[in-house]
Amino acid sequence: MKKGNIIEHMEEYKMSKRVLSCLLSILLIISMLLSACTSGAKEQTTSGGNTDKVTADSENSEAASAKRTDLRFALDQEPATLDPNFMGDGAGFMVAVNIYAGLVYITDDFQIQPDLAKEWEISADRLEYTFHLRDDVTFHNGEHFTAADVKYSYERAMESPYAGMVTSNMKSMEAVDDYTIKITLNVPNAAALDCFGSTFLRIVNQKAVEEAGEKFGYNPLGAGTGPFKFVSWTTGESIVLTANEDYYKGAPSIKDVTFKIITDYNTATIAVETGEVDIARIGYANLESVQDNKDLVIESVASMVYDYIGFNTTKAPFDNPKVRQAIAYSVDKNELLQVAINGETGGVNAVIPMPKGGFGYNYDIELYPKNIEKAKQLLLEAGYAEGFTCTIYTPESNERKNSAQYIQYCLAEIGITAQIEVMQQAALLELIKKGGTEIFLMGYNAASADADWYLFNNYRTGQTYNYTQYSNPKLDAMLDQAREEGDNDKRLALYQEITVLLHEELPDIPSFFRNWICAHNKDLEYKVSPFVRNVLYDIHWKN
Amino acid sequence: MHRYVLKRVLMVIPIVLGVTLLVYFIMDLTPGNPAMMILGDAATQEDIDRVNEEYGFNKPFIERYVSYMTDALQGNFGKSYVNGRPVMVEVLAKFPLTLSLAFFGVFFASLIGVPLGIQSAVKQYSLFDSVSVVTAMLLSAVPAFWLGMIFILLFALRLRWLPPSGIETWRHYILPVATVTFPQAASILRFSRSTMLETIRQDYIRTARAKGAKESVVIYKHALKNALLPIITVIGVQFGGLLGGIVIVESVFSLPGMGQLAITAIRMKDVPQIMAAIIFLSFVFCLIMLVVDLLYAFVDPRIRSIYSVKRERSSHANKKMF
Repeated sequence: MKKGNIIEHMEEYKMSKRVLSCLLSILLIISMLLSACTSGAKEQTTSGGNTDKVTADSENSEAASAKRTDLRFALDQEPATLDPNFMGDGAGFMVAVNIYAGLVYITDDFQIQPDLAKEWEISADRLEYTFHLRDDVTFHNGEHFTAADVKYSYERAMESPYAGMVTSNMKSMEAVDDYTIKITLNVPNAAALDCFGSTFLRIVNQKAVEEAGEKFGYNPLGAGTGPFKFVSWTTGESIVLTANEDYYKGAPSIKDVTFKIITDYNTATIAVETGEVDIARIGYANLESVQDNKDLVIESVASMVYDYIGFNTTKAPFDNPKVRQAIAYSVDKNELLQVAINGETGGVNAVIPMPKGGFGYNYDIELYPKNIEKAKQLLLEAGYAEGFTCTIYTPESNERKNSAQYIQYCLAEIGITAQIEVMQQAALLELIKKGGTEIFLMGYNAASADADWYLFNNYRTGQTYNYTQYSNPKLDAMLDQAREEGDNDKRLALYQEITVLLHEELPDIPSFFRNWICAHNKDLEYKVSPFVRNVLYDIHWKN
Repeated sequence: MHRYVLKRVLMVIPIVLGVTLLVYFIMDLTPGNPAMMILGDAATQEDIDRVNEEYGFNKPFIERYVSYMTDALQGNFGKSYVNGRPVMVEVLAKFPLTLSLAFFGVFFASLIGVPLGIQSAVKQYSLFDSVSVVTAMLLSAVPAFWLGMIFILLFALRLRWLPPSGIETWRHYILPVATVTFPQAASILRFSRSTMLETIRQDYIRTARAKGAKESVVIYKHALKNALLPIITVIGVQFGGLLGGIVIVESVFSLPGMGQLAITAIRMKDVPQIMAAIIFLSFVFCLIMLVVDLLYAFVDPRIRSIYSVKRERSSHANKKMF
């Protein structure tokens, strides 16, 4: 028995030796093949020269003379869903705006344009909006677009926890006939059309939604009326869209779109440099490495996203406006911009908490200058001449952590000792809502540049995004009045007053609006939108 | 032998259970409200309360864990809080990529590391030895993300030989696999070298030499066979570790693998997704360790004989009974 075992074992040993030598020879062959292939690829690159960037794809290099109709777009985050009514993240908006259309549309210079609605009437009391719809629109699944779809989609959005900002003022909607829909509001809202133009209120097809059932969020086949149809979504990898040849404004010039999910900015930058993707959002830190690349065009635009230094206004000493002003005087906004996002490359100073160009912007207000004497004086008046200790809460992002360190340094100059606590975004939000913070670093992003979107949601008592828990009856009354005011001049005057009040009260100190920076193939006609969206319909390959 | 396998398979159960309890507990300790994850930061308190009730987030820990495990044992791992997709489907979709990266990484690392390590040991203190030991030390000290970035900069950006990111063709695999391979090869080399050094100092090697066996026979037949045992274990452990630990490589090359899936889920506090990924990974890890142990038994007759003898004894015992 034992002897047999040894012989068996030796046999096995010889076998394993044979297997090993087999494997080694296979490896040798593979490596030879590999070297042959790579040197082949090298020759291809050198012969093609630098102008031909798409050597990775032989099909493309063959077609290099013809105009391309495909587009590869780097997406810096994976969307959570492609259901427009139940969408809360920027990455989702980037894709969804191409699949779904809404009643109206907000242009990149903040104008309202008709989309699925041809025209509209607003009742005298400004509570009823009657939209006359296009009668020549079909959904991607072939269903005809009617007022019933608008009603279905709007009612769906009213159920959604994400869309509260645009739906909370909606009372009811009624399909008057197939191509007329009447929407009734609770109170007049001067920015209501901006609501109707938001991504939350894009129109979906009931049949498509019901057919997809629970899968609708990640397999939304045929539900939109937009210029591109959803094809497929491989998580962590890509989302594929194809042109809607029946789009009511005419078929788009780009036929096949692949959104490649590349979450790392360095990787995305290299992908656009090597032609793996045609457009990529890049970080300000990557700008230098692509600036000299002649094959790329860099576009940068001030976005609608701003960062701020928030105060828990319910907690001493931050309940005292003088303390908040003192902190504003201690911080040099230009240095903050430099430290956080590399100065003008990364963004622009935020003077008031809304973007320049938006309705209601106050051009007379100036930045708080750095003035240590004044800051100390204010602290003295507030009764904190000796300073105090506090904590700055920041999420994990580098920009905010760097900001926190700079603010800590500034506060030390006026005698305030601050600690920094870095937290996960979700956990910090929970703490903020509970009122457990002191100073915190957060940001805000709106789907419209109108003052109402920035000021009402952030500063009116009890609003979801009022993270500072600021409450001022006088301000509330003014915000309500401005929202309901029908006369644009009076409304503008109200916002001038509101912004001045906010600049004195400072529930938060606006720090900066970030830039969207994009690098794209020089043969592409493309403009970055200040909104979190990418309208592919406007993109063309040059001849 | 069957007993041995059976025993090892049964061991998987308490290990996986322990891992789930630990992970579920840690996820419970970390801050962040799952209801807010589901509803987004615009949600009202009523919405949050409703979801808390619906999903049972307000129940005590043990109750939640037991109900989770009861569902999981029935194959129902739930849906992602973030995107509503069935979590196990996601895990199974991501696994092949990570498996192939880890497999090819360890495969090539072994092909490079073992022979070089043995040569280094045989020619201790030679130039060859010094060069390979220093190179190995450098490579194991290099972080994977750095190596990955350097590969991308060199081969994708400067030379334009290979694509920098994504997985479409076999060419996309080369850089990530190389990034996995080199540090692994370095540690396998170092380990093979030290094991081999120990082995060739053993008495039986001296005996083999004394009886006049050829040097190649001494090394490859007598020494290697014994040195191979711990090396196999190390390779197995590395392979298992890579399945969960390859995340850096996945993120540098923007590959949709298990690591990315798990890390994203952890960042979003997507508990069902985390649990599914961890359960699956720990299960696979146990399986790999089992295979390693079986290989061990296959290579080392001593282990096999323990169980063979036991079986013989028990069969004797059975016979006696009748």
